[in-house]
Amino acid sequence: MPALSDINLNIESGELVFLVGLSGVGKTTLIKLIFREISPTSGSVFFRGRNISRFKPRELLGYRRNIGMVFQDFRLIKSKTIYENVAFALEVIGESRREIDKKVPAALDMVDLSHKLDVFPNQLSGGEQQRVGIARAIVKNPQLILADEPTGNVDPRTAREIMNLFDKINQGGTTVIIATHAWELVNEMKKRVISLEDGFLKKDNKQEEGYCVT
Amino acid sequence: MLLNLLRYNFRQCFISLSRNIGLALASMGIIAISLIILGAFILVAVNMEQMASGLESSVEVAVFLEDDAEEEAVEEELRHLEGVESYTFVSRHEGLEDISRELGDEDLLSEVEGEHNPLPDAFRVSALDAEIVPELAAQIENFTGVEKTDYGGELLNWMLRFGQWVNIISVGVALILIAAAVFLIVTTIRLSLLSRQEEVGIMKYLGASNWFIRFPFLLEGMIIGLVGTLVSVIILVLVYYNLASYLHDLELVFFWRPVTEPAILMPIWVGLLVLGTLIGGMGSLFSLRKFLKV
Repeated sequence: MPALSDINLNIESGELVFLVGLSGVGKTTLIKLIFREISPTSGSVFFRGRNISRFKPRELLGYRRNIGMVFQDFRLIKSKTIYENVAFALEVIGESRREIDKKVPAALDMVDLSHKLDVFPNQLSGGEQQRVGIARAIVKNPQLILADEPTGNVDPRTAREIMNLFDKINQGGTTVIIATHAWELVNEMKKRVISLEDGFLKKDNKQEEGYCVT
Repeated sequence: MLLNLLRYNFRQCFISLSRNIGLALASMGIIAISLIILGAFILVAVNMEQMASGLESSVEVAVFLEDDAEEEAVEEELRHLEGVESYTFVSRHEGLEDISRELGDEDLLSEVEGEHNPLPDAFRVSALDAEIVPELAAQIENFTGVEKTDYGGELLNWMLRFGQWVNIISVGVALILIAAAVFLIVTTIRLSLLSRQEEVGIMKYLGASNWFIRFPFLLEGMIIGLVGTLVSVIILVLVYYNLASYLHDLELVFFWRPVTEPAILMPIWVGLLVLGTLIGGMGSLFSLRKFLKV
């Protein structure tokens, strides 16, 4: 049985979209499909009118460099400082040292961590670590941010801060897709909510409706 | 940008080398050992070849004539025989002189000179190629006026056969050892991959190209290979040159001096270094093969 079936979605550039549903309904699968970590067994995913399954390796690389990923478990490199973790996102795509030194402080400023550049991840709280993760995602100025349960490992108050941060990033024009089961937060945000249930699209509430059905 | 990448790669690779220093040293060790053995075989082979060619140039067929043979008729036949490089006539008198000189016994000459000389007249024939000497000797023996022929058949045959065996054994042993070296390097790189698995996963999500991820590991393998080979080459050089100069002084056999020409030895050292580095690189690419699929 496929993890997802009969999914028909269109997400506009500049939207902030919540993917909601219980654990195991296929939210992560959908995120993975968009990142092309996996390919659909049938059907297609299009990005700006192009079928991402047909990308050549080089195009796929360019596509992924245009996506910022944020994870539930932060996935920071423990042996690197906060600054180095964010800089790493630029290093792996071959940015010059000068660009890195310009962009990294700006990204860390955006998530309000400018004062903790030389600290290592395990010296930070969960919420701070997630903000580093977000800084790392936005530092390369991507068109799309994919966040898989970004508030899953933080307390409710921090979760709200994180969601507000995504809202702020979205207001800068970046498309943001957040998979989450933080219902209350989602209902507060008044954004588009896509609900999944057992691998099917249950509901697609437009922004003005902005709540999720449990 | 390239400089940044290089700095990044070298740093990564030294970090993981120092993390798995034990296994890295073991890999270097086995590479060093296998290439010492391979190198030693190559050196033996090179010297065997030198020996064989020294022997080739000194192998002559001694053609002993019958007492009533006509020297000119035999010479005429030798002149038209294929595979003959040169020949000289040695009269029974000269033959006797040679022998007494070699034996250092001047009295012999005076004792058996003239009618008592047991030696026949002879030709000394050198062949174009050592391998055809046995055949050549057989042909000449059929000439009229030729009593018998003789050459260092035993030794030459033995040299040629031994040379072949040395080649076969050295290739076989080298292959086994190289396989062992590759296996150890694969293990080393796997371990260093494991210790950085999380990081590699993150790199993929950040949009790192496969080559970007691979490169530090490739570098690591190549450094292991290079260092291991460097050790083996240093040991080989020290041992070989000392041994060679010792053997040279001994003057064991007249047709062989240990090979010391840089023109022959340098390519061996360089070749070993390249081979070791390639083995290291191959090992790491091999261990990365199935690892890099997103």
